[in-house]
Amino acid sequence: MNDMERRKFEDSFQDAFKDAEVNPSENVWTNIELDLEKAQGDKMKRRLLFFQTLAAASVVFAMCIAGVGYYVMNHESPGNLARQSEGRVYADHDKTTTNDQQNAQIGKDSNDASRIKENLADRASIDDNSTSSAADKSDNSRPLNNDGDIRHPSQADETSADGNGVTQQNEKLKTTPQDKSSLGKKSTALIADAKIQRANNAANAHGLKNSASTANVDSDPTKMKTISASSAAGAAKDNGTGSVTSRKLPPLNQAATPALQLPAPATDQASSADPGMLLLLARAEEEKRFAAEDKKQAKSKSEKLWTSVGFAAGGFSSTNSSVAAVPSNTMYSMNSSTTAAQQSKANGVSYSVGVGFGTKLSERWVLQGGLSYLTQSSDYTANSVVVVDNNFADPKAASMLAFAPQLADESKDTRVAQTFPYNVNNNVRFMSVPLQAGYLVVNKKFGVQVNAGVATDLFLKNTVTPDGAGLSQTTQGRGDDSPYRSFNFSGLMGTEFSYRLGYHYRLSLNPGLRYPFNSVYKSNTGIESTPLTFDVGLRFKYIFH
Amino acid sequence: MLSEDELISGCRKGNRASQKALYELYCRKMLVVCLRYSKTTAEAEDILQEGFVKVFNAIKDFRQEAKLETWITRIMVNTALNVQRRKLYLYPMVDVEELNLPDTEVSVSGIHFGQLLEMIQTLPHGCQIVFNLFAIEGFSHKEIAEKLGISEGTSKSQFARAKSLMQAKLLKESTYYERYGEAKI
Repeated sequence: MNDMERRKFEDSFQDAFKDAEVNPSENVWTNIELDLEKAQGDKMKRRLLFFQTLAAASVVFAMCIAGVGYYVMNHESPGNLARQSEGRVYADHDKTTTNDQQNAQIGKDSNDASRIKENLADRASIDDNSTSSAADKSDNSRPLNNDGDIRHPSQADETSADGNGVTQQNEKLKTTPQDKSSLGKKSTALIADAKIQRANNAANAHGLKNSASTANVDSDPTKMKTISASSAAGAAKDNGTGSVTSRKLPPLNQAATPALQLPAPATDQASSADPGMLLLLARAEEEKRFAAEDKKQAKSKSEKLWTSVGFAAGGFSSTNSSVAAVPSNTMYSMNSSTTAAQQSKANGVSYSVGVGFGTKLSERWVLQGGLSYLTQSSDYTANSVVVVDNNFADPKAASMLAFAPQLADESKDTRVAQTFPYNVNNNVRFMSVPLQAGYLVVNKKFGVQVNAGVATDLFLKNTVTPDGAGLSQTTQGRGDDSPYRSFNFSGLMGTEFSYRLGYHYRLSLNPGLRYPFNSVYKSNTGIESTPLTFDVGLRFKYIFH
Repeated sequence: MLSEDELISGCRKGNRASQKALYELYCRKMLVVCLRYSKTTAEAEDILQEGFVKVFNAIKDFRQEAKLETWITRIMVNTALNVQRRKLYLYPMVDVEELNLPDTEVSVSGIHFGQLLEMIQTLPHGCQIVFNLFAIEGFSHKEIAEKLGISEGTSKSQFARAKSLMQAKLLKESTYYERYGEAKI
C-alpha cells in the first residue's frame, strides 16, 4: 500500500469514530459525584484538622507558658524573700559584729522561714542593745532610736558609737512589695519586738542593758539561742572589738513605700511615753494602709462579672450523616431518599451573633453563658421537583421539607418530576443558649482560657431557596411539620485568647467546636446527622468591677 | 441550556448542577474514547469516571486555548494510558514482525463503529494503544514513543501489526457479508 492509501485507511477510522456516542450507565455519574463529595469532605476534614491542630497547639503553648510562669513565680518568691531576709540579717550582722559564732548562726537560719522571723526579731533586739549601749555611753541628749524592722533608708539614723570613735551608718530594713504580703507572718515577730522594746526601754531607764535578752527569752523561749548570740554581739560591740561595716542592699530591696518609723520621743519624755505602744500604733496604722492598698489593687485587678457582645463565623461538616434505607421502591421514595442524603450530607458555612455574660467562680474558674442567633447554610444539587395537586405552575424544590413523611398529605396528589439538575440552598436558623465553664490558663493583660460546656439549641426555621427561576422559596418553622428537632443539645469546646484594652474592656478571639449530642433531624425522618461546626468568634467584653 | 462558557464558569465554582450538565454533554463521546482503549465496558466506565473527576478538579486551570471537547478528550486519553500503562508494565511492548498484508484495499466505510470498536478491543494491548494513538488520535510515532516510553521502531512495528490484524478482520467481515449477502450494519 502506498502512503496515500495508508492515510486513507487511518482517516476512515477517524471518520468512523467522529460522531460516535455510547450511553454510559447511570451509576457512573453517581460514582463521580461521590468522588467529588469525598474530595470535598477530605478538604473540609483537612481544614478542620488544621484548625484543631492549631487550637490544640495554642492551648499547649499557653499551658507551657503558664507552667513556666508558675514555676518561675513559685521559685522566685520564696527565694527572694529568703535572699532579702538573708541580706537584711547579713547587713545587720555586718553592722553589729563580725563574730563568727553569730555569723554561722544567722547563715544557718537563712533558708528557714521560721528562723528568718526569729532573726527579724533578733535584729530588733540587736539594734536595741547596741543603740541603747551607745546611747548610754555617749550622749543621753540624743533621742533614743528604737528603730523597728521596717525603715526607710533616708530615715536611717546615725548613731555615735562608744569611745572607740566608730560611727555607724545604720542601714535599716526597708519594705518591698513582697514584704507587704509577708507582713501578716511578721506580726508575731513584731509583737515580740514590742516586748523587747519595752524591756529595753525599761532596762535603759534602770541602766540594765542586758535585760532585753531576758525579756526576749520570756516572750519566746525558742529564740534563746539567737538572742544569746545577739547579746554576745552587743557585748562585742560595746567592747569595741567588732568591725562595723555597711553594705548596700541590692536594688530589688529598695523601698517602694514609706517605711515605718518609731516616733522619736523627746529625751525628757522618754521615760513617760511607751515607745513600744507607739510602735504598735504606728504599725497598726501601716497595716491598715497596706490592707486598704491591697484591697484597692485587688479590686482593680478583679474581673468578677462581665458582659459581652460578639459574632462568629466558620463552617460545618456533615460527613457522618446517614439516611435509613427506604423500603418502598417508588420514584417518590427514591427521590426523597436521594434528596435527604444530599441535603443532610451537605457541608456549609455557619454564622452566629450573640450576647453573653460571665462571672468568676474562683481565681481560675469562670462560668459564662449567653444567647446567640445561629444560622447554618449549605448547598446541594437536586434533579427533581415536587408537584402538588398537578399545580405545575408552582412546583416545589426537592428538599426534606417537600419529602418529609409528616408532610405527606394523603388527600393531596403529590408527584415527583425529574428535571435538569439545579442548586438548592438550605438555611437553618437556631437560637442557642450556651453555658460554659472555663479555666483561666493565663490571667494577665493577655489571657488564655479553655472552655467547655453545653448549649441548648432552639430551632427557629429553615428556608429552602432553589437556584432556578421557576421555583419558589420555601420556609418552614418549628413544630410537627418540620423535619428538624425543636430542641437539641450540643457540646461546646473552645479556647479564648483575650487582651485587656482598658480598665473595663477586653477583646477576645474564640476558636471553638460545636457538636450536637443528637441528630438535628427528628427520629421519624430516618436521617441521622450531627454536623460538627468549627467557628472563630470575636467578642467585646465589658467588665464590671 | 447553558453555554459552554457558563458551564465552565459553574464548574470552576464547584457548582454541582454545572458539573452534571457538562458530564451530560460529553459523557457519551468520551465513553467511546475510553472504550477504544479498554477491553470491556466496565473498564471503560471506570476510566470515564476517573477522567471526569480529573476534568472537574483541573477545570480551574483550563485556559480555553483549545476546544473544551479536545481538552476533555486529551484528559480521557491520558487517563486511559495511565490505566493501560500498568498493564503494559506486565506485558511490555516489543518489536513484532509485520504480517503479510493483502494488497487489496479494505474499506471501513459503512461499517458501524460498534463493530470497529469490537475489533479494536480484540487487538493485543500494545497494538490496541498504538493503533488508537496513531490512527485515530493522530499522534506521530515519535510522540507515541515518548508517551509510552518505548522506541519509535517499536511503535511503528506495533502499529503495523495492529493494522494487519485490523485489515484481516475487516477482510473476514467483508467475505462473510459477501458470502451470506447480509447488509453491513
